[in-house]
Amino acid sequence: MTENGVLAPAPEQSADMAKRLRTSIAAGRDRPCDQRLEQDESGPGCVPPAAG
Amino acid sequence: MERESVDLDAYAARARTGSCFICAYLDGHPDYQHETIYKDDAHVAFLDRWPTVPGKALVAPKAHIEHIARDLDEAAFSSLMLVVHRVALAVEEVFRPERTYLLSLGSQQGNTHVHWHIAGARPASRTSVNNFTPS
Repeated sequence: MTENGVLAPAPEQSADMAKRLRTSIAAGRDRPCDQRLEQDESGPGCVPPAAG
Repeated sequence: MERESVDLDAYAARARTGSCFICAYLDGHPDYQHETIYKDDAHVAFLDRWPTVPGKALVAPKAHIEHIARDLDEAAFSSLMLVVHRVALAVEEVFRPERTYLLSLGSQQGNTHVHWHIAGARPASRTSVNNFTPS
């Protein structure tokens, strides 16, 4: 047994989490970046700003 | 969200002797249903049925690949990792974890089909040494 066990999300909770993740994944490169990061125009997600 | 205990011995036995849970899920087996969050021609991502943290997700190649390095050429490995990255970014956006753990699993001891676990840890999380996933 794990120390805290596992989560037991209700079906509607799982469906809601999946829906939000699908929406975020579909948004892809349009996802807002953390302030420490800047948008990468060439692919999904964000990349750190160039050094120097 | 409620927590429940899990019998790890029974889980390990099932992982060793049961069907490939990823192939069964892809085949639509009713006992291996997951919430799909992403799929393309070669990959699939879905929610963990027994998550230790909210939104814990798995990414796998659709093909039954058992070795993360030698069964994938550079292009296939890079493609898989781009999906892992994309799903991890979504987990971070939706669940705002303090940090994100990525772990490649699938071994000859059970659940042989290569898959990546993506787990966003909350600030108060402790990391289990036994299963390498935050709880």
